[in-house]
Parts: sequence; structure tokens; C-alpha cells
Amino acid sequence: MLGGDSMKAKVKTVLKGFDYMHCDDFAKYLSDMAAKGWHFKEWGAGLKFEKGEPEQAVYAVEVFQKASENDMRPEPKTQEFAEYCEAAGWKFIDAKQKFCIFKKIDQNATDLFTSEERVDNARKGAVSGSAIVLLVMYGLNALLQWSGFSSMFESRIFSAQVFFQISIWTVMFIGQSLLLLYALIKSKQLKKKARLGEKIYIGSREDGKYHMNIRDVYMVILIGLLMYYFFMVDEIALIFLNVAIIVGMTIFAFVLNKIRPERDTSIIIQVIFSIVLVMSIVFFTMMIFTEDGVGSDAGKESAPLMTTDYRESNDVIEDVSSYLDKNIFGSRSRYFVFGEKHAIIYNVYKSEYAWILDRIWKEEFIEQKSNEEVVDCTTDWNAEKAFRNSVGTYYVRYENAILIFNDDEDVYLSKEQIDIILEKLELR
Amino acid sequence: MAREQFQTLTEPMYYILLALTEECCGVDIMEKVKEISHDRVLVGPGTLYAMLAKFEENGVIQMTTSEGRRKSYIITDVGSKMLKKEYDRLMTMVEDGQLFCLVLD
Repeated sequence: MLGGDSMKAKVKTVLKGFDYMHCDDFAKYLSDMAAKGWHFKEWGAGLKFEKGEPEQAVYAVEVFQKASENDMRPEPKTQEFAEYCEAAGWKFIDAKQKFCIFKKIDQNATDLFTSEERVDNARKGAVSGSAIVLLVMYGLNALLQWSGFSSMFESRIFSAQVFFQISIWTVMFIGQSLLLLYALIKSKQLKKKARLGEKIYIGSREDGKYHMNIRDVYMVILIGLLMYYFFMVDEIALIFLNVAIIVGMTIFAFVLNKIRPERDTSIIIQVIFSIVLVMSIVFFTMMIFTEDGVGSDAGKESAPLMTTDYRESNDVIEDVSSYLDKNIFGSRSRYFVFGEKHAIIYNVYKSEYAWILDRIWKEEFIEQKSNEEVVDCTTDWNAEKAFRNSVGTYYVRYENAILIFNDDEDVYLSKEQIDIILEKLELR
Repeated sequence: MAREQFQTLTEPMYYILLALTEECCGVDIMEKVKEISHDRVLVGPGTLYAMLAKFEENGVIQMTTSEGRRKSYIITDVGSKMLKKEYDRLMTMVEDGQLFCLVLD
């Protein structure tokens, strides 16, 4: 749930959100606020309340089927419906999306809907076409991310960006599925009660206490993932891009809620914003990601191992590039050290999970090099397995790490040289 | 054409159609239903609004005037037949039940 108050004179705006399957929680919240002297006035950037005398007011928050998710203000059909409600003793306060808010002004006012209709409306609002479109979109994105593992496992498994994208889309897909499932199950239970003539309450705070619900858990996980992502990613540009997306979307939502355009205008604005957002993301992502992934020329001193560290050479290092990926599964460090005469390239994979290293070993060594002639040098490297192929690339497997090392001079590394490499790469 | 959902009318449907045997403004129907049913049947505005839309969509009622958001409706021939059919059904039920209920009394 969103929270936060900003008070200005006799009006305050509260950032608080409710879903359709909690419409009675919403009504109860407005009544509680009225009892404290804060009377709901309208939607703006949040819920706007006006200070007045404390009052025991009865609010009705209804889900109006003729309204649309794109309605930022009461559209003609909502206004027409409001007239019927006013004639029945309910003062229309405001409407946004499918929510319509009324305040009881006649104590004998007829209920706006029957209990069964209310349940149906809430369910239809929650399990709407747009909610299902979102579910499919989240599912397809999650599927797309997961399917990437089939061909690029070693480059994706340690990527904080990939981990973040997979987690976000998967959590959003599961969250949305649970919300829809909750709406279906809860509405069925409520409808049964309504048919038996029992009083129904659409929400979870009938007793006035907070009860954890799916949306809150879902939001906490999403925020947690975001925080974790910012903590894990070293690339400032990526963090900046993601922060820019979040800030941009927040400002957009704020402005849209503030100006409250009519339905058609709102749809046009949202479409334009979405196109601009997607194009910007693609553009900046292309700028940030190099061909080899996130990373850049890291400077001559950034690689833990240089050619000159393990063999005598008067070679002058010209360029060093390093790329680091890390997340909860471990890390992948790739180094490209280019000298005037020679170059070395080495990848170090580190993980506590054997199945990850097994898979990388299979892809990097078994599948790629199966047809080549290899020399077993396990003893020299003091490893679980170590091989040297015909072009001088070493594949070394430790319990918690894999090293793939290539010196373009095709040298046979001695035990002493191996010891230096292992020490420099902290693989001992 | 009336759909299958109107084969048997619910109590609010029946009274709304009764109210619309004369041209009536949408928002006044609630009061009229209350009057016809001698305060026994109360139709909520949400129920009424949704019902009017369904009736109109299925040609059971038709809009006669529209001044701004105030719309008036009247029952159509299709609606009248439907109402008569429901009345006959209810009468048959009453006749069928009469003998038994007299015994119960």
C-alpha cells in the first residue's frame, strides 16, 4: 500500500490505493477519515480530503461497470448513473476508473446495488479484460526472459540485470495470477453469503484491523527486488536508466492524475507516453550495453592478472577491458588484457551452486570442445578437472569456480605459473 | 429481441416494466416502483441503471426523450408481451397454489 501525507491549509492529499475487491475497505477508510474531520473531496494526485467537522458519514464505494480503467474523471455515463443515485439519497462525490464514491445524505436511502450485484461488479472490475491483458503481458515477458537461459546460460545466470528482469516479470505474473485467483475465489464465497441473505463485506478490514493481503505482499516483494537490484548492479548507467524509468513513470502518473483528462485524451496521452518510454529504454539500453555485455574499458590496472605477472615479458599493456556480472547465484568476471605483442583472455565463474557450475562447464567445455584434442592437466591446477585444448585454452573446474584461460602465445603453463595465476585470481 | 435472460422476470424487472407502461423518466422509476408495490419493492439506483441498459439493449424498452442526462423510457411491444407473459405465469402459479394454500389456512 502506498502511504504518505502532504498537508496544505485545510486540504490534504493522501497517497493510498485500493483495488476493486477491497471497495468496502475503501468506503470504511473514507468514513474513518470523516470521523476525524477529513472529508473526501476528490481524486487528484492522491485522495484529496478537506478539513471540516468530524462526522459519522456513510460512504459507498461502488464498481461501475460502464466506466473504463482509462477514466480519470466522471465520464457522461458515470454522471448519468450518479443522477440516479442522487435521486435515491446518495450524494455523488467523485469517480475514477471504475470506482464511484457516494455519501449517504438520506438515512432512508436505498442501497445502490443488491449484495449479489455488488459482488459481481467487484469481481468483473478485478477480473477485467485489461487485468487479463496485463497477466498475459507479464507471462510472456517472464517466458521470454526464462527462455533466454536455453542458449545463453553462462552469460545470463550471473547477470543482475537479467536476474532483476526475470524476478520482476515472474513476480508480477505470479502476483497478478494470485490477485485474479483471489478475486474469483473471494467473489464466489461472498456471492454464496449474499444468496443466503447474509451481510457481505468486500474487503479484508471489516474488523478495522490490518490484514495482510496479496497486493501488499506483492508490492513489498517488488520494492525489495528493486532495492536488491540497485544494491547488486555496479553499472551506474544501468541504475540511472532504471531510476529514470521509475521517476518518469511516477511523474507521468502524477501529472495524469492531477490534470485528469477525459477518457479519449487520457488514452492518447498514455499511448504516446508508452511509445516514448519504450523508445527511450531501447535507445539508452543500446547505449549502455556493449557487444560483450555491461562493462567498459576498465583501465590498465583493473585486471587482477596481467601477462607480466606470470611470465617474463617486455610486452607493454595497451588496453584492459573487464566485465563483471554478479547476483545471488554468484559472479562472472571476464578480462581482456591486450599488450603490444600478446593478449590474454580469462573468465572466472564463481558460485556456491554446483548445478550452475555443472551447466556452465557442460556448455563451455563439454559441448564446445568435445571434438578437440585435450590434455588433462588436473594435477597441475590442483583442481577437480582441468584440461588444455589444442589452441592453448585452459578449462579448470574447482568446487566453487570455473576458470577459462587463454594466452594467445599458446604457452604451456608451468606449475609455478599456475600458482601465480591462481593466487592472483583468488582461486586457491 | 428479448433474450433468454428475460424468460422469467425477477421482481425488480417486473416492477420496472410495470412502471414503464407509461412513459417515465429514468430517475423517477425508483419512486414509481415503490408506489406501485406499496413500499414493498425498493429498486436501488445501481440495479435500475444496469437493468434499463439491458432492457434497452434487448428492445424491451425504448428511450422516448433525452434532455441532457435525463432520459425517459417506455415499454415496447416486445416488453409488453414479456410483461403479460410473466403476469400470466404468476397468475397460473397463484391459481395452482390457491387450493393448497386455502387448505393450509
